[in-house]
Amino acid sequence: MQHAQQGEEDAYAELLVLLAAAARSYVRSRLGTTVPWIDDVVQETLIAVHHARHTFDARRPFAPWFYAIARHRFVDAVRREQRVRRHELVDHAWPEFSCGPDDAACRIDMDAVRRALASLPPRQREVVESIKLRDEGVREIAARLDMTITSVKVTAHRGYRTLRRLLGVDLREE
Amino acid sequence: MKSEHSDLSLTIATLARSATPVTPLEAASVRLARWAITSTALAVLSIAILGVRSDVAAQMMNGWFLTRATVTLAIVVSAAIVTFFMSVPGVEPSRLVSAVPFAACLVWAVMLVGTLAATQSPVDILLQVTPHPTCVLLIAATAIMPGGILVRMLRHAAPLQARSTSGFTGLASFALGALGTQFVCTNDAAAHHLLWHFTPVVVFALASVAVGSLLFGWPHRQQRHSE
Repeated sequence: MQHAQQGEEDAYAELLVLLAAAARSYVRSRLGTTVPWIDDVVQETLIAVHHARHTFDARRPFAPWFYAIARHRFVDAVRREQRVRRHELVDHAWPEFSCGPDDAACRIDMDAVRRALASLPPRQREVVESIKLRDEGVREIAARLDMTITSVKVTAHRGYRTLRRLLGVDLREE
Repeated sequence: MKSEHSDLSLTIATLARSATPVTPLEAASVRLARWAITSTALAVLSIAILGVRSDVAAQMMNGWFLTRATVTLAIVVSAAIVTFFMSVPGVEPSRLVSAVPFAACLVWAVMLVGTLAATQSPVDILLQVTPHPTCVLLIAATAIMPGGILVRMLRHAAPLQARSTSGFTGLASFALGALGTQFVCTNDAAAHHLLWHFTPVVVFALASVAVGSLLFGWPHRQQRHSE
């Protein structure tokens, strides 16, 4: 970690690989089972380690420092998973067009969608466009916009909800 | 579609590439001492600007005044210790230590309620307390700069418990505001202190808990570090 604090890329990469394994093992041991979001926690733990690396004091042992971060990221992830499960928000929330048989109607709907998209707050618009128009993955978007995966999902959900409200009868949910 | 492991490898590679040298954070005790010195100076300056009470010399010999000041100071110090150590992973205070600021608050409340209860008609006295929002403003005015500095110092560390950190930060800052206000406000009645000094501190501390995610929440820290 001291090498990482000094900016040594290779030593830091090596450490992160070890920490990823340690974080995965920690989450598994806490849950007693494997869940699909283990890698989310591992990833968030590594990012937290990265942002907190200046707080590591070389005179103190490394393990309590690392596991304190891992524990809090794990607890946060569990809470978020519980919240997400309560307000399940997935791609299905994206409103689908109720196109008529002729293409012209679809074009009109598309214009309305574009206008509605343009009226979304910038971050919501960016997330919705990235997912639906540019077909980017949630993980990629999270990395690019420096957001957590859950934040991306929540932002997308809010964007869909606003779009549904703006487009009203022209759209229906799948 | 990329696998989870390739995502993780990508994250590791990205983080490793951005591993610029960092200056290790100073020990929490050193930063605490620095905050204490700065905040004391700012509080003294605030009191001087707001106007120190004329009988302050006499009050320095008054047991009731000194007891209240000591208890408030205990809240400031204990809450600041907890929040500074809480903001560094691996050295978080134990539950027992974290309970000390609450215990000090309880002592403050019991002391005021006890003094009030010792009078012949505590409820009447409490109902007859004249509104004194100036004290609330004084507390806020005295607390704002030390609080701002504290938030800035803690954000520079890595607080993992946003709401708790924010709550203790608010408690330390506004208790310091109440301590300073004691040197400005000439009303020493227990009922006045209970309603217009103690209660605002508690309310401000609770409000600080509510804005914890905003001040110390994880996405904000991510954004800050990426800037």
